[in-house]
Amino acid sequence: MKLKKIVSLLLSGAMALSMAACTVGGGSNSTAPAASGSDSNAPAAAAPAGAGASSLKGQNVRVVIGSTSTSGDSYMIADLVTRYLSAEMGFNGKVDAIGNAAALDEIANAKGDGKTVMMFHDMTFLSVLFGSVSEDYALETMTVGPRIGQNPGGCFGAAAESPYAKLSEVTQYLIDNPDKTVSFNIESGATSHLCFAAYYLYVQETHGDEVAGRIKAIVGGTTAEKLQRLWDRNADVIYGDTSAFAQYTEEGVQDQLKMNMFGSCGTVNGVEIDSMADDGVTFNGAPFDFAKDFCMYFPKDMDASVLAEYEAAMKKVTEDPQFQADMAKLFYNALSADEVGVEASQKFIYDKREMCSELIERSPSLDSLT
Amino acid sequence: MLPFTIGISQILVAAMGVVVGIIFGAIPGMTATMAVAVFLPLTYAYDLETALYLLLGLYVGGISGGLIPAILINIPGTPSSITTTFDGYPMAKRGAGERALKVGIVSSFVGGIISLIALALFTPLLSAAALKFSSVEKFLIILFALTVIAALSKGQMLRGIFAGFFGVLISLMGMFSVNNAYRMVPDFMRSKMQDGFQLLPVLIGLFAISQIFEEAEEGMRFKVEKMDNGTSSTEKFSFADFKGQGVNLIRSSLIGTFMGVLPGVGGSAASILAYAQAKNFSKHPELLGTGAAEGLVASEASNNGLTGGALIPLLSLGIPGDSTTAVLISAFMLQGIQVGPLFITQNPNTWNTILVALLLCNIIMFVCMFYPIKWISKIIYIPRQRLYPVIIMICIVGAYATKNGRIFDVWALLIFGIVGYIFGKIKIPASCFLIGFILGKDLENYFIQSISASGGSLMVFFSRPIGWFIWLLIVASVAYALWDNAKDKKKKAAEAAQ
Repeated sequence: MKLKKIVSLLLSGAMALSMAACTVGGGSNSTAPAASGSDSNAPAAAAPAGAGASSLKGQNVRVVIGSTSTSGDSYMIADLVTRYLSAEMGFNGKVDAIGNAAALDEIANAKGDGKTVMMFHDMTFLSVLFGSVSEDYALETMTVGPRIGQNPGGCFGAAAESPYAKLSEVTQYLIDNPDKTVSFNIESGATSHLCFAAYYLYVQETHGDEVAGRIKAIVGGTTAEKLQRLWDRNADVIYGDTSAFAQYTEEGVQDQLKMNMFGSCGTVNGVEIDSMADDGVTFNGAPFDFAKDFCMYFPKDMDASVLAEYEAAMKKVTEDPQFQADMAKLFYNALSADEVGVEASQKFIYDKREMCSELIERSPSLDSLT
Repeated sequence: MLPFTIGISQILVAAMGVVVGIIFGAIPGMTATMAVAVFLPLTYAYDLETALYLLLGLYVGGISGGLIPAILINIPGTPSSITTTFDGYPMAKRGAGERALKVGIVSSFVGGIISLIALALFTPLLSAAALKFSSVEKFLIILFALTVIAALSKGQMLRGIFAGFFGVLISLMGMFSVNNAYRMVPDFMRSKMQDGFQLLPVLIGLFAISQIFEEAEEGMRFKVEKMDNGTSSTEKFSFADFKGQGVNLIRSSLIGTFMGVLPGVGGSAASILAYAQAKNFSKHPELLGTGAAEGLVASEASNNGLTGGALIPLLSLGIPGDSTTAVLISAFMLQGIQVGPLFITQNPNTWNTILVALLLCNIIMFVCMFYPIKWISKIIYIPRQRLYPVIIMICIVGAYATKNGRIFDVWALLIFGIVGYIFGKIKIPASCFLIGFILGKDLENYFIQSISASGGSLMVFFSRPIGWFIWLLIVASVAYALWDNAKDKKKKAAEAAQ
């Protein structure tokens, strides 16, 4: 009888715990600002204790990102910024990697009280332009908030033994070898798709359809899968991040894995690499660079005073030398206080979407390039 | 000075990781991957070596804990414990729960140690071998794993194969990444089903919720056939249970290790493949699935064999061997260390620490599970009407947490609970459906990769010697299953005639 009572008590406890777990917004558990006195040199460990004053003080804030990976740039930047903002505004922020469609849906249905934020890069609007998600999730249906940082590290990579180590050399290879094709492994509807389209249009414009027609696309795959395709020699050029590719360019790496990286999306601090613009790629007559810009997105009916609090806090965070150092350690760029202002951010994001829209309209369908 | 890092704080952190990992693994819907992801932010406060003790503890514990609900309540705690239910639960039902758990724990320990030896001694060799496995070979391995459906559907092969194909079909729902087109998803469901149905709600729906429906229908009658509390000499655990299991134990551990070495093949495929091979090579294949320790050994040795195996491509090539090691990359990145081809030579202390941590975590896992399991095994005797409400609640939390808090996954749990209940009524094996569902996406992915690289030629699947060998295994496995099925039918017909 006694055992029965104990078992019943334990089971009731388990049920109560389960119910409690469900009541925390989004299944999140709060993340306190990073511990002090840490012996780690981890970027995040240094988040300082800020003023901690805002209307969200003591509240749980759910930060959703449009990726399901916890090792990619989306998670890394969102997590870093969330911890600094948590300290600055005094809330308990937690990043949930829920994926693009789910994150857009979350923002579309959230209250504009600032307790739900999406932090994500250009795929927010690219996924609408490429048709991966419906127009119901266009920028006009949400509030574009402060920008939070930039990753210029997207780049192309090819096996070290291949006859090209730059995009201009790929073009020259195609011109010199009329019977050859070069395949690019990219992801549909992502930044890599856009950079590939820009390069394709540039070659088409400067060398004609015949040369451009021999640029082929292989679509899909994570960075790991793309690397394996390169190692299997099933793809000639792959798209990824300098931080993922750099190690395979070093001396001592076995021949099958060794690669060159080139055509980055912008200048990457601490990495020797020519950007697409450095290599002569242009779009609409202007040098083409396409760093991934990360921004905060809020619901359409966002409370203006809370938005202003986020803006003020982000301006402080981005000017914090420790934050800038943490971003640099991850090879990401911190922005200036002027750039993160809401008005400047909105103009920047809408202008960027306009440029992308034009590029996508002019680029051929991937179905015709595979 | 030791060539690796270890101290009291590391041992305590590893023990905490293992215990928490076991709890995560034992809760249906929670996995080792979730455990590592949840605890990742905590590692900001640690140096890399201490963080590794914690994360590897969570990994080993998370993979091991799945056997507890699989054996005691027929609900796989993790996807790689599916095959543990096949023999573990029948053993528990006949009053040998403690024995089944101990067989599983010892097998898990051996699997973990064999994979650790492979990691320590053969990493360069195995990573070179992994590079020889292109998308073609991976497709064929997945196909080979699918042949277990034929072995599992003995006596109802048509139904089993139908369920397997149906599982593959359902796994392909969602957005096709090659052209961003939605498949089998109505417009209004697009935002919810971009990635289709998630594995965990499907898994626990089919196994847990449907079983609860079935038992509710029957009035929650207490079903343990023999309450001998493990005291009967025939059902008490002893190491003699492993007599004649040496080859099975080593083969299954090595299958798990090698599946881990192959990036993108996954832990579930490892235990499915190991179970299929145990059945194919068994002297009494008819006993597997009825509560034979042999099946349990194969399943548990292989899924823990995965732990060391999955670290091999991570640490030597820079690409994760499974979903959990994919999260582990973040721990290295946050500490500014790049894992890849130069990792071992450039970071010898960290490399040695990983080996020591993995050994320590396996030992702690064994101690923490083997001795207290006597008490945990009593769960089987808790009246169902008290146990099931808690299980339902835990399943809902697990499903909700699958994608960091989506109510759609709770609906999916319920839907697949009903699907599983209907399957039971019309005698369609849910395990075959689930195996198809688990392997379907990878099957398609590697098929497309192979075809696109070959310019559309199907001959690519017959173009490489490793592929020929796997084809041979596929044909032999299917032929054996067909022969076994025919023999079984004949035997049943003869019995009926008598």
